[in-house]
Amino acid sequence: MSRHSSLFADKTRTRKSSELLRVLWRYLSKFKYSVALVAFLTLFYTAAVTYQPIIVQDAINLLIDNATFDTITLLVVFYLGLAVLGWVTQSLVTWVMASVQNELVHDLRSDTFEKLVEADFSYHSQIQSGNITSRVVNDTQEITTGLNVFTTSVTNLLVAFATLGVLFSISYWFGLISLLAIPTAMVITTVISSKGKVRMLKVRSSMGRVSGKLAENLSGVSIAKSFNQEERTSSEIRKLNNETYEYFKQLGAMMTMIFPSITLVSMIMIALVVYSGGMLYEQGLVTIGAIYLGTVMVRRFLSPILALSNNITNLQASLAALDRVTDILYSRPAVGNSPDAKPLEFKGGKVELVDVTFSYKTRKIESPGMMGGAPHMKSKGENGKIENVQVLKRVSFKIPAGKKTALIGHTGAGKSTVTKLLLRFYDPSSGSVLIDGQDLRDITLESLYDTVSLVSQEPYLFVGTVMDNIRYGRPDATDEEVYEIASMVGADEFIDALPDGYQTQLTESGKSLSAGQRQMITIARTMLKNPKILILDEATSRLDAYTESLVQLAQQKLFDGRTTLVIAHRLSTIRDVDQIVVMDDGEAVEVGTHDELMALNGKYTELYQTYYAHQGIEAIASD
Amino acid sequence: MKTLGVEYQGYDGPSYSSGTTLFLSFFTRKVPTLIFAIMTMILSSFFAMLPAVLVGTALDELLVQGEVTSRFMLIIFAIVLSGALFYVISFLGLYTYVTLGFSFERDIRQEYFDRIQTHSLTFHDENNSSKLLSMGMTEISQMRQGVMPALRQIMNNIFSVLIITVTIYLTTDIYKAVVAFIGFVLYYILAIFQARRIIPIRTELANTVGVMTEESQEIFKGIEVVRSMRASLREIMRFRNTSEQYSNLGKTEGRMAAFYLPNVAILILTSLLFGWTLYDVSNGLLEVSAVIQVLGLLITLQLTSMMMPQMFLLLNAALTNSNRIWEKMNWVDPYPDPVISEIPDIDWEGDLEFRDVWFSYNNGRYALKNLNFTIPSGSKVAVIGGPGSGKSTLLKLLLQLYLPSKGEILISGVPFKNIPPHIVRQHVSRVEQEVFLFSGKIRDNISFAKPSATYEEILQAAVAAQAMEFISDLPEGLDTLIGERGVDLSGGQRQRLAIARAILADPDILLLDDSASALDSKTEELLRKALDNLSKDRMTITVTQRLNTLVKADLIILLKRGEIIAIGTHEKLLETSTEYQKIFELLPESEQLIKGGVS
Ligand SMILES: Nc1ncnc2c1ncn2[C@@H]1O[C@H](COP(=O)(O)OP(=O)(O)OP(=O)(O)O)[C@@H](O)[C@H]1O
Ligand SMILES: Nc1ncnc2c1ncn2[C@@H]1O[C@H](COP(=O)(O)OP(=O)(O)O)[C@@H](O)[C@H]1O
Ligand SMILES: [Mg+2]
Ligand SMILES: [Mg+2]
Repeated sequence: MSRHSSLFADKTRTRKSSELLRVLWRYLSKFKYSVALVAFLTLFYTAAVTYQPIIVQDAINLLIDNATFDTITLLVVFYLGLAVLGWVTQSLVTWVMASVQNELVHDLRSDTFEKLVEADFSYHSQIQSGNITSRVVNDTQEITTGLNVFTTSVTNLLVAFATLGVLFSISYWFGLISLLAIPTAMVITTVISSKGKVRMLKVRSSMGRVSGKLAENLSGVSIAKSFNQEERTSSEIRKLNNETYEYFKQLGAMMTMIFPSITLVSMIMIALVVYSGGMLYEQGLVTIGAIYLGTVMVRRFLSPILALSNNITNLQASLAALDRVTDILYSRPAVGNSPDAKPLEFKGGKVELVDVTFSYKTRKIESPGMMGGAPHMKSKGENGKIENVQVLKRVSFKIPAGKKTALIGHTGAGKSTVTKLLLRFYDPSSGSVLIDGQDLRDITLESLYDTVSLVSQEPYLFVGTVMDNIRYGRPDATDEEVYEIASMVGADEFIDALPDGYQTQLTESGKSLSAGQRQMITIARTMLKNPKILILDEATSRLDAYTESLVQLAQQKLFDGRTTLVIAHRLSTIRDVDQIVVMDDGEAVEVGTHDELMALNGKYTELYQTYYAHQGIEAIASD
Repeated sequence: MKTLGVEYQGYDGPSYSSGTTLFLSFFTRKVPTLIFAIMTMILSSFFAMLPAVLVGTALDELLVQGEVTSRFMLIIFAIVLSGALFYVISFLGLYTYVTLGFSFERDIRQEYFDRIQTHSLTFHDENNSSKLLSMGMTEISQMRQGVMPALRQIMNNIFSVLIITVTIYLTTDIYKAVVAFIGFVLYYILAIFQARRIIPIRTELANTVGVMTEESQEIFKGIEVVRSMRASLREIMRFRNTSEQYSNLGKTEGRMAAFYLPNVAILILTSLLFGWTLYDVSNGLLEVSAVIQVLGLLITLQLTSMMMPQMFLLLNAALTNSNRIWEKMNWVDPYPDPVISEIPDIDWEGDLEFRDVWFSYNNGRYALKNLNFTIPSGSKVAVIGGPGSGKSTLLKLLLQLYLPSKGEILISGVPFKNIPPHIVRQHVSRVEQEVFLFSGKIRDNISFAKPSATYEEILQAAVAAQAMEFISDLPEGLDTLIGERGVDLSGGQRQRLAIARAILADPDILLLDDSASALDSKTEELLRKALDNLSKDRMTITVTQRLNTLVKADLIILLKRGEIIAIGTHEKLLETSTEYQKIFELLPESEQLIKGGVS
């Protein structure tokens, strides 16, 4: 998804170029011999291409002096020889660089991916997966452009110097004329990097909008159809499409100026060389051949100079990409194994929250279109996100070992947040989370994940077969084990009815499954992993009561005697728990059994009563 | 009865007989402009070549006269002049062509979306939407690259080759011109041959980068699952593999660019003509200026040809993409909408009948089987059943998002298949299970079905849907932005917006897919009020888990694996259907109801 590749986003760079080049060198040093070879070959290449026109000069001069047949043959052979040398050296450079570049990107890409997989969840929840992917795929690739710039710059510099040397050796005049190339290149580069950049940015962000709208209208196609609004979605796209076209035209107008301008300048330079050559020739200072050489060389001088100044722009983009990648490579996750972390010693599975306070870090919006604009104010509504609001406030409660505990409360009360802390997706701002008396920060994440498993509120499925998905947490489970768990939770019935049964391919997060079916698969997946502590976060919300009862039966059978935390809105889901924790607005307000809490006549009682009120039981019962 | 939005009768843009035709339509879109662009291209090729000749002539003049003559000065002036003419003409030509290229991209993209959008949902089920997106963006951009720069440079190059061989003929002789021509033809043949070798690798590279992007995006989307299931290492290894595969392909491709054979053809050609001219000059057959001119011309041509291999690849990619795009645009519906000659008069408030309805999502399984029932006018119907039993599917058929595979659905005796889908959708609305909202303002989402709605109407709908309760808490009320760059809404909030949207659509038949939502009791109570408001005075079909809705329904349909296993009122089903009894007992707090009823 290269929609927001950030070619021109160098304004946010945080590191010095030298620092970034050092990072690059760390990856490049593995290939130092190849790099040395390339440098060596480049010298030969430069010599070959610079010397070729000199031979033509000699040939012209010799012809004027009535050369012999043999000298001409020699010159032609020499000319051909140099051409071949140029071709071979250039090919060798390309060959060697193909390996260096691709291997280097592979190293960078893998390291970046690995770091990202282990990055903090706060990072992942703030940045869209498409943008993260763009770090891995596009930015690393962008860095090779920089690498390319490096090698071509060396070649260009050498060629430019050699060419300039030849020109000055013919005549100072020629040398001076060729220097015209430098201001020309500077003007062109300035225009490109100022106005061009602005227009480029506009094109990019406008393309980003087209892409965003297209994506949305493609996923919402059934809604547009349902409400007969195809005309509308089509005209939305048309509007954005036209806008992009206008921006493209503006950019195009500027970019199409460049090539003719360069040609014009080079023709003026040639004319000047011929003119001054004529003057010098009159005084016997240059030969006809030398004038010819001059015309070839001034023209040639222009291109490495242009390439060099253009490279500076490319290098900037590349360094910006490297900067973003370096951010990732050098990041140290806040949540990770501490140096002296020990495996969790499981002693029954008592879970404890002690005085836990927590707030999600400021949710900054990574401006997708580079144009940024002010990030949108987040609302304060029940799900709105605002800077550093305390989501949990000094929460303390115990989940007894081997018992079933329910966590209830309104949307946004912080229930899911508690589960995230239990799995150490985040660390509490203060206070601590303990399992069997051990602080989560002192145990290894691996041992934690072996012990605790979560069925989360949003079912997430991977591309692959149903079988692969159920087996995701335990790749070594046998087919029989998968069948068994599926039948226990009551999923086998529908899986068998799928076109290819367990081998049915799921696409796009299970688009072809019904909402309930998706949820069933995530339940089976977690139960198959057979954790010692199980957390169900509204795991059965998309199931009907009958299917839910099957899941509950399975849960009783498999997890009887293990610590279980259940979050649910339907009170029927939690009717047989040993303990209920009521959360309200980030606080654990009540803890106890159903009867104890009813007796309190507090929050729980209120929740309980609204629940029945909305079910309309009284109303019906009194009919 | 009432008008809703604009009547959209399907795609009415141009159509093409093949992918190639689609690509070549570039030439027929704006013919005069294109002719202008091509004429200027020919002229600018001419002016680009001129200095090479003029330098030779100037030096010849210098050599012969031994001094700076006025003719010499005139030639120098001609060089500058041709530079200036080149500047103007090539800018005009380039700019015209560039606009043509970008308008081509714009138009194709529009046609692509318009076309894809009208395809039935069967198409959208079969096609991954992110793939459709990347086709619509990247692949269509690549189609444009096929015309600009690729086709332009190729055409330009052909003109240059022709002009330059003619000039070589004029400055030397026909033999050298023929040799030069053959040399360049050989170069082209070799370049195309080379491109053919690279193309499969390019395709594979494009596929691999696609896989790599999709895989990593999937991992990052599901990062919580990946990590907590301890699959990080596995996924890292998998990514490493893909990345390495990509890197190896890249290496192969890069190496193919080395030792590029077509360049050898040019190299030999240049040396050959160089030597040949030298001999002719030394034998007095040609002037010295011929050497300068021939080499100058060859260098000019080399410069323009340098990009050819790249251009062939671009052109090829454009053609491949064009075929793929064309295939998507011209997808043939396995279940085409029947042709409707005359729109019948329909009483939308009449009875709704399912007659032997079977339906399959084109995957070899029936999601609905043998449905037979009649819903009397104005009834409230409740649909229940386990996950995947076909509840949502049934509602989709009523919106005519799909047509039944067998059997028919009738409204007041008129079969749905005789009614155009957009008419059906004027009278039937659905609140979907997983609510989809468009990014943008809340008010635009509410007025989605009726863009002309006034502020009052929107407000009323929001109030009736119990949505004002949270909207008024938002910083900008109805104008608050939602979606990617706006606020996130909770499930219950989204659902209430969808209800407001349906209220504004004011349908005769209302479909509610509300099977079992994750709502807290407060929200659920609000929602129930909203739904009661909405379903008043119209036929309503509700997928539900709510006890209260079941008890009050005029008709309950119990589905299991796509079949009706029980149908009737609550009282009747409690008596006759053991399945229903079983389910009812498990429903939230039915015991309470039963106890309550008894006491
Ligand atoms: N787009 C689709 N392509 C292929 N199969 C589908 C598609 N949508 C649903 N199905 C299949 O059709 C059957 C019925 O699905 P449907 O969505 O109607 O179930 P449902 O009764 O609404 O379930 P839930 O209560 O979970 O929402 C299921 O087996 C499901 O896998
Ligand atoms: N990743 C996140 N970043 C910022 N805020 C969040 C995030 N997840 C949840 N919140 C906020 O934290 C609060 C508690 O949310 P949550 O724990 O999901 O509640 P519950 O599960 O009880 O509905 C809500 O205000 C919610 O908007
Ligand atoms: Mg939650
Ligand atoms: Mg459904």
